[in-house]
Amino acid sequence: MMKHLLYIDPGSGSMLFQLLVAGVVGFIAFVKMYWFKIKSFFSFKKKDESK
Amino acid sequence: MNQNNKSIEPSSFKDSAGFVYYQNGKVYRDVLNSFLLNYNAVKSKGIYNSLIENKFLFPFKELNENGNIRLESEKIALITYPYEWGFQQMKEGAIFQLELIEKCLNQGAMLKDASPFNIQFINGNPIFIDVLSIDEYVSDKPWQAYKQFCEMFLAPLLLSAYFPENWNKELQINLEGISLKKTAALLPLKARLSSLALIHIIWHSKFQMKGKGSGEVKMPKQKVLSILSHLKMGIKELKKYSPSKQWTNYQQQLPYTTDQFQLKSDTVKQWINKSYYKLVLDIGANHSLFVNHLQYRADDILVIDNDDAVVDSLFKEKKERVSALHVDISLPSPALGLLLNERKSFTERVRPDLTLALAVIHHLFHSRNIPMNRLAELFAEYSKELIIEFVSENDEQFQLIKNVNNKHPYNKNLFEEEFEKYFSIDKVVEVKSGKRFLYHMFTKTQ
Repeated sequence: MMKHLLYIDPGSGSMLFQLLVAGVVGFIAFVKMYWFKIKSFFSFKKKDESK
Repeated sequence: MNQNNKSIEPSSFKDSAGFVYYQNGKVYRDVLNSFLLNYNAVKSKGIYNSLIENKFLFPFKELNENGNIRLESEKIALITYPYEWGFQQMKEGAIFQLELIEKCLNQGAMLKDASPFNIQFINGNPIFIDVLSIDEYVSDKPWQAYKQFCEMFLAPLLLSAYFPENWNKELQINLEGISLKKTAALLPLKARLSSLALIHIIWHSKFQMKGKGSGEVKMPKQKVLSILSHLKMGIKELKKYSPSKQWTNYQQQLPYTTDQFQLKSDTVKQWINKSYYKLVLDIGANHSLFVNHLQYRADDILVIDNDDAVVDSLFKEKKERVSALHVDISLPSPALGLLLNERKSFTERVRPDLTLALAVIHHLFHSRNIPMNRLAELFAEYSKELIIEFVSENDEQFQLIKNVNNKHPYNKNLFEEEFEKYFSIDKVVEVKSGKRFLYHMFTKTQ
């Protein structure tokens, strides 16, 4: 059987914490993406007006 | 010295997958039976080759001797430790580590740990040296080294971003990283505005204290990748806290006329041109005006300075064969860790055959009150061939940095008298009338 050796202490709590964090950072990435889209939409409009 | 002697690398005791030793000038890793299946599984997916081709992994050759797997690689001449790196070097090391994990995950492998000691820099570019840290990826397994990454890479980077000083140095005291608890306590309130510090250090540390069990947590690969991506984005945006301006503009205020500087430069180049060196140590290099010239005269050039801003700017230039480290020659890195041989001292790793010490002696004399006899002893430790600039007490720069409480005697005669105890002075050139002199000397034991 293949053994997966661990020689560092992953830290009690760090494993479960990752699960929660993954949700939070996923949300942040989602918000950032939309924020970027909104920003680029308005900056495009601005450019148009200046013509 | 018997070149056939096998010497085991004392720092490779942690990993039970194999061990590292040196023989005939090469580095070997013996893969132990307990890891053989894992090694073959990673190999069969072509991951090692792909990582080597993409310059993520230091190249190695597999030697199969009666079923025993031995990995052979070239020896890296100059090993550096993260507590000697500047902020920029640690930042690039951290981003590299995250990208390496992403690369591994996408091919069905994972790293067992996240230690900056497994990264070395060649021509200013990071490379992973610990092949046995790469293991098979087990589906839905969380990132085991998440906490280690936060304590060894992220903590010193964040502290260096919010406070003066180079916090990589803290790894010298805490070889396993700056604990989450300590980092969270140190970080200022405004750090909570950054999701990088808030999530990965502050919340992360609170979760440790609650001692939630680490039982079987299932975590899809995509979620691990999203954490890696968040860390990478955050670290890319980090900037060193207001870098010191002490020496970064020094080049523009050099205390020479153009002719004097030309004479200094020509003299040094003329002396250097006579040999080819394995390792050149340039102490207090500032902008290392001679690096370009040295590049073609040496295998490795190590530039050290005690100003981390200078080290960062030199590191960013990414010059071939040049390493820039944040090391104060009067406070070099000691031997550390298990039996004091897990991490070697700076003196043990750095044995230059040429040392340049241009206009640093007066700084060492004033900032650390080092008397002339100890300065001679210091340079004798680090040099076989020495090019040193003596700055007289009547020089403007000497007067500028003068420490009035330093009552040790300092003059040219004493300098020559003390240095001649260890060195034979070959040549002396006066580069600034009565104020600055270049010496070319060789140790007497040579």
